[in-house]
Amino acid sequence: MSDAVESISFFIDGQEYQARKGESVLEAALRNGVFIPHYCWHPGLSIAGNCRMCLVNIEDGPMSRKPQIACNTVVSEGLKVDCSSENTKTAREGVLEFLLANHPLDCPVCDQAGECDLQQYSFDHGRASSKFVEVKTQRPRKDLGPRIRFNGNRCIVCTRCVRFCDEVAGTSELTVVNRSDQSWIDVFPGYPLDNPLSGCTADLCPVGALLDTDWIHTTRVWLLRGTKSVCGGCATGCNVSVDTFADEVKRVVPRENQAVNKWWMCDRGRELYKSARSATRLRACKVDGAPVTTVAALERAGDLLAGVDRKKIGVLTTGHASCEELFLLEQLAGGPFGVGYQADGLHFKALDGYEVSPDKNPNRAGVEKILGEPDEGEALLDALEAGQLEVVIVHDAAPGGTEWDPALVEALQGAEQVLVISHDDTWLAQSKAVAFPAAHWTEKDGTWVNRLGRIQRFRAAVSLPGDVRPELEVLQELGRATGAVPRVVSAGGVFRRLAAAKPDAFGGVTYREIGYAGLPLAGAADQTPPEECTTYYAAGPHSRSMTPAKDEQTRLAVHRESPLGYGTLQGSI
Amino acid sequence: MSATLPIAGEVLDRTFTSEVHEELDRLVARYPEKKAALLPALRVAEREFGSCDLGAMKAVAEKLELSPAYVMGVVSFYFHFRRPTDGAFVIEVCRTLPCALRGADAFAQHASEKLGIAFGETTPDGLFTLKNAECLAACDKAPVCHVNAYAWELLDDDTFDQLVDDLRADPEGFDLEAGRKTPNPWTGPADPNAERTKPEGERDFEHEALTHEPILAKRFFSAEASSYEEYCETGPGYKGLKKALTMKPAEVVDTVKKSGLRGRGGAGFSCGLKYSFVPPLEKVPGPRYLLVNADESEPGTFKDIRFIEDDPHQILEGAAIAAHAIGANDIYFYIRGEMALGAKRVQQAMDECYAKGIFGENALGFGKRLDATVHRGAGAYICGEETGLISSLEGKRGQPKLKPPFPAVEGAWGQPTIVNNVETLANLAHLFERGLDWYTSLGTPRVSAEEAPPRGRLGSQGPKVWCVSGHVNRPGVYDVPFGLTLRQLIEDERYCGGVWGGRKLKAIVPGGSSMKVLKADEVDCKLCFDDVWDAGSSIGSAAIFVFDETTCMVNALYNVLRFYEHESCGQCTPCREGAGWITKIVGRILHGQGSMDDLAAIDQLTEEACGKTICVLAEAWSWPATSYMHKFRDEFETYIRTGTSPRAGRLFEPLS
Repeated sequence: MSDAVESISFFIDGQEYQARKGESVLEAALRNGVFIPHYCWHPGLSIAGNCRMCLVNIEDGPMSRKPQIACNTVVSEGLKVDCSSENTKTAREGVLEFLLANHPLDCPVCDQAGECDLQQYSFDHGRASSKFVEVKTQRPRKDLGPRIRFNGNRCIVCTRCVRFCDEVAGTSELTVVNRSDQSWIDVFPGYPLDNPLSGCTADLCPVGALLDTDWIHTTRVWLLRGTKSVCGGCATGCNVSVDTFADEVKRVVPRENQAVNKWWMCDRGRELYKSARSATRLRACKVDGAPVTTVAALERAGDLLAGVDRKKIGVLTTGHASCEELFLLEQLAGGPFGVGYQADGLHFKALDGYEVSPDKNPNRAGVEKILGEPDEGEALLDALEAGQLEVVIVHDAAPGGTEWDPALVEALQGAEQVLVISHDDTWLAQSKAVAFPAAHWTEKDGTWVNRLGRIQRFRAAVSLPGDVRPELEVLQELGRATGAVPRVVSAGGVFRRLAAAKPDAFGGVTYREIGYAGLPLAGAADQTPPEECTTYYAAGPHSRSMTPAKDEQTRLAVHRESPLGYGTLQGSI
Repeated sequence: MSATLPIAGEVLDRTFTSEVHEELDRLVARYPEKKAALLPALRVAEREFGSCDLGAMKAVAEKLELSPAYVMGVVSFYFHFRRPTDGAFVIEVCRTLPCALRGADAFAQHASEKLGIAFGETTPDGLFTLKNAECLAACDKAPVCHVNAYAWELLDDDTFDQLVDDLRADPEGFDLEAGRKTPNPWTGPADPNAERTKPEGERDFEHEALTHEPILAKRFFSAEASSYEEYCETGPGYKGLKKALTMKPAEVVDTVKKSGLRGRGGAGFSCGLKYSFVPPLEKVPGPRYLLVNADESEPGTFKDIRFIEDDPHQILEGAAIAAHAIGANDIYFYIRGEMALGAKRVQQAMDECYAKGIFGENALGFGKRLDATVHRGAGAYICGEETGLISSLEGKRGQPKLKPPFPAVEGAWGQPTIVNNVETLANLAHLFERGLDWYTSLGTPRVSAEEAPPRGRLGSQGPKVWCVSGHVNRPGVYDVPFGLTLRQLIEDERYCGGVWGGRKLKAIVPGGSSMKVLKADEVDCKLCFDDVWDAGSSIGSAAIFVFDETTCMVNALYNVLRFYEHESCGQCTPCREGAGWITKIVGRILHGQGSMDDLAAIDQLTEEACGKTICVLAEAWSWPATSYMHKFRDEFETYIRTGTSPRAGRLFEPLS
C-alpha cells in the first residue's frame, strides 16, 4: 500500500523527513514524530485554519514572507520548515497569549484541567505572564443538549464541534453566532444538540468549553486510570478507554481505531458502564434461590453435572458471551445450543463511514464462528420437551437480562436441573437449582468479534463486586469437575485453546496479536487501517479520545509522549 | 456598539405564501447552489415578516434545506438584517472616523435626544430605532444617516429634526430616496486652458492633472443614474465590450496585463496577472465566475458608491469584459447591504442590458451567454475581502477563506473565480474603448528593475478617482490621474481647497482607515501606488482623509479601532482577541486610565497579530494603531500622563 503513495522528502529544522504527496506539513510532521501544536485541526474534520496555533516558518520561497499554518501548507519536495526558531516560538507565544486573553483561567474548577490543550500548550509553548490587564469579555454558559454543557468563556472558537456536527454526525445542530470576541457556539432554540454522537463534541473540544454532563464534577482527570477496552453496546465494538477511579468506572471515552470507530463512539455506549451498578444485578451465588458462597454453589453445580453425559447438557447463551466463554460452554456441553439476542436498536450512520450498528449484540459474529449457526433456542426447546436433556446451562451475560422466547421460558420454568449464570437477578436466578452471578464486561477479560469480523479484546477495568467470579473461572471449575477442562487458566490461556481447537477461524491468533487494536479474522471484510495511525499526536495531551489503537502484532516502535512535552521518546507497547 | 445580536425570544410559526415560495424559487434558480440564496431569501423573509426573527430564520431554513442553527449563525454575522425589536424606521447614524471628523458625534447625540432614545433602542411608539452604522460611504456629505438603508446626507440638527417630524407625520407615503444629495459639484479640471511650459523630457503631472478631463467621474454628479443612452452618448457605451468580444480571451487578458491596471480595491494587485491565474478549461473544467466587489465599506471610501448609484453601466461593461476574459458566463454583483438605492439602480441598469441584448443568451450577438445577478450583502465589512465576499455569496458567514487555494483557481462554489472592485472594472471599459496607448499614457509609468533597483516600480496607470474627506474645504470625489502630489490635491484651490478654517494640516490618511497615517511633512509624495508606499503608507482604496491641527489622535485611533473590533469576523485567534484587546487599551487611555506600559503592549500585540491571520484585518487595525502611536507619540504620552487630551479629546472642532 505504501508503495503506491509517492514519497517526497522535506526538512524540519534541518532534519530530513519523508512525506506523502499532498500531505500537509502538520500531518507529515506528526507522522514523523515532530509535534506541532494545534487546536482547530483534527484528522477527522475539514481544515478550518482559524486557531493559528500551528504557525511555522517556511524558509525560502514566497511562503517565507510570513508564518504559515502547518495544517494548510502542503509539503513540496525539499520544503524547509522551521519549527523551533525564535520567530516560530514568538508566533506561538503570541497566539497563546491571545487565546488566554479572554479565557477565565479557571483551571482549578475546570473539568478539562489535566487534559486541556490550552494548559498543555501554555506549559510547552506559552509565556509565563500576560500583558492583558483589561476586563475579560463574558460569554454565556448553557446546556446545548441533554449531554453537553457549554462554557462560553472557555471557548476558543476552534469550531471542531461545529464541523463535527456538520461533517460527521450530519445533524448540524451547532453554529457559531456573532462575530469578533463576542462569538460563541450555540444551538437554535428548540433544536438541542442531542444527536446519537453528541458526546464526541466534548471529546473533540480541546479546552473545557464543551463538557459531558454525565462526567463533570466527578473526578479530577489525573486521578483516572484508563483501561483500553471495547464497548459492549453493539456489534461495531468501538474501542474505548474505561476510565476508573477508586475501582469505580467514571466514564467511557472512545479510543482511536481507524478500522472500527475512527475517533468516535455513541452516547449510548458512554452510558453502558452504569448497568454494572444496576439494582437488579445478581451479586451472589444462589442455590435453590438462597444466597450461598461461591464454593457452596460450585459444589452443588458439580453434583448437578457429575456423571451426566455431555450430550445431555443443553446450553442457552447470548450474543454478549465472549469467545472464551462460548468455547468453554461448548467444551462443557454437547447438547443443543440456543443463543438469545438483544432486539435491534439504534442504527446511526455517520457521514464519514462510522456506524452505530443496530445489532446490539457485541459478539454475534463470534457466536457464529464458534458455535456454527445455532438457533435461538428451538432445538433446545425440542430436546427439553422430548426429555432428552438432563441439565440445562443458561448463561446470560447481557446486562439487563435477555428476553427469551415465551415457549422456551415455559419449558425452562418446568425444568429442574438448570444451572444459571446471569448478570441480572432474573426469575431464573431466583428459582433454579444453582445460580452464579456473571461479570459485567467492564469487570472481566475476553474477546468479541465485531460485525466486520474483527476480533477485539475487552479488559477488566474494575474488580468484581462482592463474591462474583468471572464466568471463565466458574466455567473452568465446572469443566474440571466434569473432566472437560484440564486446569484453570487465564482468558488468554482459554483463547489459546480455542485457537488450537478452531484453527479455521482463529488459527494463529493470540492475545498478544490482538493487542489494543484488534485483528481481522480470516474472511473478515477488508478493514486494513491506513497503515499505522497517522494521528498519534493529533490531540496532544487530550489523549482520551486520541490514544492510538496500536497494533501489537506489528510491534511498531512508537513515539510516546514524553512526560515533559513532546519529545521523540521511542518505545514499544 | 454591541457586537452581539439578541437571539432570545419565541420561535414564531412563520410560513411563506405560495407567491413568496415562487419568488424564492426564482431566487434559488439564480445560483448554482440552494444555500447561496440564503441572504436574498432572508431579505424576502425580512420583508414578509417585518424582521429576521427566529421564526423567519426557521422558515428560510426549511425552504433552503438548511439547519435552523446554520441560518441563525449566518444572520447573527450580518448586522443589517432587521431585528425583531426594530421599529418601522431604522435610523443608522454613521459615527466612523471620516464622519466623526465632520461632527458626527455631536450630531449623533442630537439624534438621540431628538428621538428620546439611546442608540440601540426603539421609540415607545415603535416608529424609530436608532443604531450606530459603520461608514456609510458618504464621508464627503457628513453628518449622514440611513433611514431603512436610504441615505440622508449633509444633515444638521435642524434638518434631522425636520426629517423625524416628516417621518412621524406621514410614515406611509414618505419618500425615502429624497435624502440623497448630489455630491460636491466638482465637474472637471479647474483650468483646462492652463498653459505651462513643460520641462524637457520629463512629464509634468501637475499639468496633466490640470488639463485632465474627468473620465471615470464624468457622469457622477447628477441626481439620477445615467441611462443606457446617456452612457452610450458620453461614455464608452459598450464599444469597449464589443471590441473585447472580437478578441480571444487570452488576448483580452494580455491587453489587461500590458495596461498595467492595478486593482482599485485596496491591494493594488495587477489585474491582468490575476486573470492569468485562472486555469485553462482542460485543467479545471466547469463554470467560471466573475464577482463584482461593490461592498465598499472601508471607512473614508465613497468612490464606488458613485459608480454604483450614478453610472452603473460603466461597471457592467467592465464586468462583461472581465467575464469574457476569464470565460465566465455568470456575473454576481455583490453590493453592500446598506446601499439599497445602489442595488435598485444596478438592477435597473442590468435590466436595460438584458433588454439591449448585452446580457442574455447571446451577448451582443457574439454567441456568448452572459448572466448577471445583483446579490445584496447585509452589513459586514469583512465581506469586502475577496474570499469573505465569496463566502458571503455562497450563503455562509462572511468569513475569509484559507489561501491557497486562491479564488482564481478555486473560488466561488469551488470554481475559478475573479473578484474585481467596481472601479477596476470601470477601468476596463475605458481601456478597451480607447486602447492600450491611451490608457498607458495616463498615470505614472512602470519602471524596470534595472532602472530603479532593486525591484523596479510597477507603475500606476489609467484613470483614477479619489475620495477626500475630513477637515478640508471641499471634500468630494476627484477624478485626477495618478501623479499629482497628495499635498496638491489637498491644498490646491482647484481641488480640495486646503484645510478648512485656515487651520494647519496635521496628518493625512491616504488610503482608508486601515492604512498608516502620514504626518503633514510626509504628504509631498506623488499620488500613486509606488510613491505612497515609499512614503510609508498605501493608497489602499484611495480614501484620503485629512486631520486638521485640532484633532486628537488618541480619539481618532479609538474610533478606528472600535470599527475594526466590531468588524473582525471572529475567525482567527490573533484578530478576534487582539482587536478587542487593543480597543480596550486605547479606550482606557482615552478615559484617562492609561499607562506607559500600554504603548509597549500595543506595539507587541500588533506585532504578534500582523501576518498571522487568514486575511489582513489584523493589519487593518495594527497599521493605524502603530502609526498613530509612533508618529504622534508625544500626544499619546501627554494623554497618559495628564489623563486628558492635549486637544481636549476632539475629533471635530467647529469652525468659528
